[in-house]
Amino acid sequence: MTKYRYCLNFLCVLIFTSSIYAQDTDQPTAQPNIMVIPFAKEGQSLRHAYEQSDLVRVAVVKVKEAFDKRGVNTIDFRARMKQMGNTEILQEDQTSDLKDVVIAMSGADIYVEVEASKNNTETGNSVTIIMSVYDAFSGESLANKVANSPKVYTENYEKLAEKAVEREVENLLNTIQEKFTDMIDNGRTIVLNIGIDEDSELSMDYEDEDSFELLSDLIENWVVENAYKSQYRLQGTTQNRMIFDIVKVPLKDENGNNFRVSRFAAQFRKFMRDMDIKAEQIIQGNNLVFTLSKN
Amino acid sequence: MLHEKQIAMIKILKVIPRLSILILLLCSCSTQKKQATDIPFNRTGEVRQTASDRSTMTVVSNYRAETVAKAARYAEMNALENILFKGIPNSVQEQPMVADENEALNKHRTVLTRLIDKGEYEKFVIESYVDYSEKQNQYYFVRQSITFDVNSLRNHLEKEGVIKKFGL
Repeated sequence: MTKYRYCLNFLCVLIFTSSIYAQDTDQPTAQPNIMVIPFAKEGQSLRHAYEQSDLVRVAVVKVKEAFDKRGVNTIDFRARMKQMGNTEILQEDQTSDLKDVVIAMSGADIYVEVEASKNNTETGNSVTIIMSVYDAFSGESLANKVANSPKVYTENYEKLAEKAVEREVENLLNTIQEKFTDMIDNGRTIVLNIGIDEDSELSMDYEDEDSFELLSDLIENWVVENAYKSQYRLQGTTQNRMIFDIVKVPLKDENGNNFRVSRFAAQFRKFMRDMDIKAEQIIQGNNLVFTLSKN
Repeated sequence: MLHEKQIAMIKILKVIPRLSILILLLCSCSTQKKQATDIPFNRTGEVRQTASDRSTMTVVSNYRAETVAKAARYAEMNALENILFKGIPNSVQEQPMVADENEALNKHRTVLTRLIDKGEYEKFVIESYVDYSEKQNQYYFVRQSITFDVNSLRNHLEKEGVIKKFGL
């Protein structure tokens, strides 16, 4: 009986210490990079939109300040643009029915777009700030707030812009945090864009010799099995392209390490190789682009 | 012939009913002071924001209790609980600071009891005063104005592990 008790105690100590060890090896979760930018119309440069309006500059700085207060470092878009420039990615190797232009905000996983406008009325002046938060790669809208300053008889619109941002920015951050909590529970979004090389005879209607299933169905089945909790959305399928605008992946892999999108890409490439199909990949943040061709 | 003692007994017995009536009349005429029942604290939604700036939030909170001091205290606790667990419409804290109240109370009961019930929240109160009060029957209605340092309150909750820091 005493021997049994000693064994049980030893087992308990072993389990306890191994669980502590497991916790210590968990990596801290990689945090998303956030960039605050001014609203720019189509064809208008971000730098121009930022420099031409005092209101927008104040609003952008106030929003950045709110992130700073919460302990979040933001990317300065002007500094980043100096480093890398505006980049356009053209999917040159793929047959495309439409002209696809992807604008990538380099390094940022999430961007906050800030728009400011003045309102002059007989009962006082005010400023309206529109703050919109997006996932940089999936285009998912994470939070949106319209903030109005109080109406005051003043020409100090910058002060009114400050007041407007102060009124709603905490609620904006709280809404973003709700989305982060959802990511922890349901995974984060990646975008999967699969196209056919224009020189290849392959198409999405290609029938597999073994299973007699169409390539598009096989790909979709693979996504069902590999998406986190099988959560995904197929935006559309053509003869030459499949776009999954939402594919959920976990934040951590089975070893407690930050889940790498490159690993997801590697698994897809291996799946394609098993079907004797070559898959060339481009990874940009959470955006995966594959170009398929027959081996 | 009756014994003396028996005569005395008869006299006493005759007096007792008259005495009883007298006592009864005296008791019914005297005014009895009604005691106000102790009101336990129960959160209400009667909290609204009146002002805010970068780091602070001023709210008014209504409450009733047996004394002004108790009502004022309950009003403060009411305001705090609304900020923490419910959110205040049309304010800078529309969402609750603590996302899941039940989970937080289960995992961090000691911290939250110390903060709310034991008065630790006073460290995060910049200003608190009775904006208005009036006696309503046995109770005092109080409208309390409280300015909270929400930034420091959030930092405190993050340090204690009640809420996560911003991010994943």
